[in-house]
Amino acid sequence: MKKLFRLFFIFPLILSCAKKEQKNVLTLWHVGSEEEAQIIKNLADKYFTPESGISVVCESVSWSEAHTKYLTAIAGEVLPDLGTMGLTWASEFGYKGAMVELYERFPADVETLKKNIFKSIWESAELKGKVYGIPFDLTVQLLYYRSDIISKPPQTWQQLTEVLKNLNAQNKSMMIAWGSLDWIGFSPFLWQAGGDYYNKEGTKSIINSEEAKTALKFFADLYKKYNVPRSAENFGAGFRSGEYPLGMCGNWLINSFPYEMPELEGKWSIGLLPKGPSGKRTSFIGGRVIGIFKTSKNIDKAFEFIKFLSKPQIQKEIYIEVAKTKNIYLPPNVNIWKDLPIKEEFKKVLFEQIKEAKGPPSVLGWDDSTKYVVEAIQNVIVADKSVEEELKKCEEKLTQHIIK
Amino acid sequence: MNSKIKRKINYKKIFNKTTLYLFLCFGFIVMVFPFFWMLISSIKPREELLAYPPKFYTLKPTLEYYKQLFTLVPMFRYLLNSIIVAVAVTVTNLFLSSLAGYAFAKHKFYGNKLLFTIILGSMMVPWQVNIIPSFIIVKKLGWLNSFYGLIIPAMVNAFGIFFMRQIISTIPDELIDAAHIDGCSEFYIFWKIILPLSKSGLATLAIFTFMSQWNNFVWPLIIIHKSEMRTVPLSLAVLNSQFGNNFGLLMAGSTVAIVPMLLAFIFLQRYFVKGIVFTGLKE
Amino acid sequence: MKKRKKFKKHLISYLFILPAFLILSIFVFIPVVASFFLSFTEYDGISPPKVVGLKNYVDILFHDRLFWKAVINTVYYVIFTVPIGIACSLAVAMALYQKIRFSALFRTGFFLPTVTSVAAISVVWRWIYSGDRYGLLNYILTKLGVLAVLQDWLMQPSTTLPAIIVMSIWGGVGYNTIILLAGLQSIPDSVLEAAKIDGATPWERFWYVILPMLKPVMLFLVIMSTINSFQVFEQVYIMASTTEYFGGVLYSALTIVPYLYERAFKRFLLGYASALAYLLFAIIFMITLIYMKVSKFYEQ
Repeated sequence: MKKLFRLFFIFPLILSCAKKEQKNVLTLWHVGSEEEAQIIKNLADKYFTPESGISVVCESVSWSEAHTKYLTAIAGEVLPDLGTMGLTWASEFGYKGAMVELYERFPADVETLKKNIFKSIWESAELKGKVYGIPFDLTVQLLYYRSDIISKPPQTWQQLTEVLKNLNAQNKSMMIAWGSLDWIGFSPFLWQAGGDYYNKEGTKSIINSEEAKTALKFFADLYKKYNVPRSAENFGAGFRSGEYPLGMCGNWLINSFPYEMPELEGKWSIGLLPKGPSGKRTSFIGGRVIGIFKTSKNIDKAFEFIKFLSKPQIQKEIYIEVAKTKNIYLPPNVNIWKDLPIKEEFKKVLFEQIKEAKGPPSVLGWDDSTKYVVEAIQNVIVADKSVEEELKKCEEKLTQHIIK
Repeated sequence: MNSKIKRKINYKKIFNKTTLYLFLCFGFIVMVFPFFWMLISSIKPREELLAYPPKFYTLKPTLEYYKQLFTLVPMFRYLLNSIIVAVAVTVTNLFLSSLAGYAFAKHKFYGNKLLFTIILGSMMVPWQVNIIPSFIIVKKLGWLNSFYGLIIPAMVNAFGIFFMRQIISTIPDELIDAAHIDGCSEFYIFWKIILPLSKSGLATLAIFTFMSQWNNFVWPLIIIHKSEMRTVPLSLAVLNSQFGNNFGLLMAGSTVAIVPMLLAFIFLQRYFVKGIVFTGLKE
Repeated sequence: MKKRKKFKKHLISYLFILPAFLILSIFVFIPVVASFFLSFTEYDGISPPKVVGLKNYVDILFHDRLFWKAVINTVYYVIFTVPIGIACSLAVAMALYQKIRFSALFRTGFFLPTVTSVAAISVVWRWIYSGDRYGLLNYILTKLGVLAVLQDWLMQPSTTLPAIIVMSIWGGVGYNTIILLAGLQSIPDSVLEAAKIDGATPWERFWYVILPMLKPVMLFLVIMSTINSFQVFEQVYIMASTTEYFGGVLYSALTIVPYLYERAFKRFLLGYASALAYLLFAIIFMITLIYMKVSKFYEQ
């Protein structure tokens, strides 16, 4: 009985302690690996906490469940102060009223941040003059190639088809390891052809253009004529064996390949995506933004932390720490790039490709519309439907689903 | 003459037996192969993992992935969470189901039939119908991200009550009546007579409940947002999305997730069989 | 006095069922009723639900292409999974019914998939179905000379659902087998002996004696597996969905529950998803009714 009594007495005490502590604690959900979350936490402990007196708790959330998790957390009002998230999510959640609009609240600071961040990624983070998240990192679609098999990476679409013909003759091919059969894989081709999903104002879809038709036909031919496999789960193995000496994939393999396949040292490299008919090499750029939730009681301090994470020297440290885990972190801050300890040859390609890249369209309703684009792509490639009809249907759906 | 026939029959018998064993072995291989591959992949060195042609054995076994598993992610914590949830749910299920089952089986009270029918009827409702409002209720109670949210909604279920009622109704009334005459309280009878007499039923229910909790995926996926509260099935999904190209690590994770259930099955096989037989025939 | 005692006795009975009933009420009965009401509203989990009448049901039944795709796929899935699964199980059960060595070992082997979660073993199945030549199925089929071109089993609309069906059958054989074994064991030896003496061949014994006696068990299995198959979720969710699309290429493996899950927990259309859930409930309810009718018919 005494024990029970003690328990009753102690329990609320513990609870109240925990609550008191929360005042100087920021919680951050980080969409990504456990290791990255730990790195952010360590950096905060090392520099941020001593300076500001605020400690930071960092939880990792896995990519595949993150979107669902944020939505349920918004509904359940069990949100952290801050969260990193997919590029377009912040606008989506902001539209639902769950996030702090940063431009309005911290105009001067946001303006300064904007100046230092790659334009290509900022465009996707800003929605009609509203900013719900600041870019935290970026990911860009690149060409990986085996230099011992392909002497020079293809520079144009035409060269790409020539290389593929050659490879096919040797029973080899290319893999599209990021966005196979979906809009992420298709977008670079669309932009390289000079097309786009929406008009400049974001009021209407223009996916039924001649440029888009050219792009989709070319993209479909990769699968139908040039034996690009539909799934690319084993890109690493195929690249290693030389059966797939060419691949389009995000930059995340740069630091893991040397570790996974040391015997290929010096036999592979990365290149820019080939130029399309419009003369552009536009790539797809993704990444994460970091935003503040409205339910936070420490909005100002949370923003201090965002500014802290945007500092060049912090982003450099994140890069170094992440590289130790055989992964890669690409900072969105332009000014830090010259100091990044990446192989010069790679850095040049990455920097150029990021400058010539686009993110997902910053139009409300896009997240709900991707399925129509995916359907059009898959109908053309898998079900042999006509490009013209599919794009026409797709354009109607996209325009219809724009939220005004 | 006679011996000739006998020999002929023997040949036929041997032939039949051989086909039988061939069939069983073939089936056995098909069933067990994915598990075998999982185990072998979790101890293969990196360079053999995606070798072509696939290698079905390894001469250089390594525990590297198991080390990774327990250092990269807090696997011990996840195992602990799963064990806490599964054990708590199992214990409460046994107690509450048999308590209610006893009342339904042996007591006469107003509404006995009606209440039992409602409980039976709820077994027909697919869980998808409940999950959204349950989520909202758990949210309102403030149990998201907690053991409460994982354990309390699962503390009892209709199947368990039904199952225990059937088990307890086979206990002869005379035993209970005799206890009544001796002046024992109802709870004493339940605790000292009913429970010991339904041991095998309880064991079966325990295993079923533990199994379904151990493998439960959707409910934790929805209510758990904190990494330290993840259960084993959730952690597998996380491994899958974070280390998708580290096949060995994924296999080590799956092996660790399966081993507890496998051990439980091997040691308690007869209860498993008994329990399934029961659900199969008595409903 | 007597009445008081009776009252006390009743009170104890109610106390015994109270905890269980309380929990069931909060997490089963109330949600069942609540989701029925939610199904007539628009609700995004943030702003309060807005009553829209029958709109969700009308939208689903008349304007939702994906729902009908999911229904057709689910029916396709059920039609193949249930009979093939039970036929396989029957064969295995008949084999295990014979006097054999290592029966415990075989039983464990066949039951193994039943005790493991789909999430744990699906990674291996993804590898088996992998589209390049590293996939096991492609490897075996090329070795046998059956395949000229590698198949992308999970990326080809015509093979995605069959691939998932095979995996589901594999996962369900154990449970069915053990139930059938129990049914077999409950057949009295005298009946089989009598058939033997009458000179029935093993095949005749199986067809005219064993099978008719297994009918109630078989019927139960058919219904249980049908209900479970209608609710197939994890296989599709894990095997045939990526971050950019769900239910396989061109929704080739989209079934009802994964679709419901996508509506509810990816898009947060909770009212719409509740209506979907009730339509599923209606389907399952009808099947249960038919089952009851059929089993009554057999009992007579």
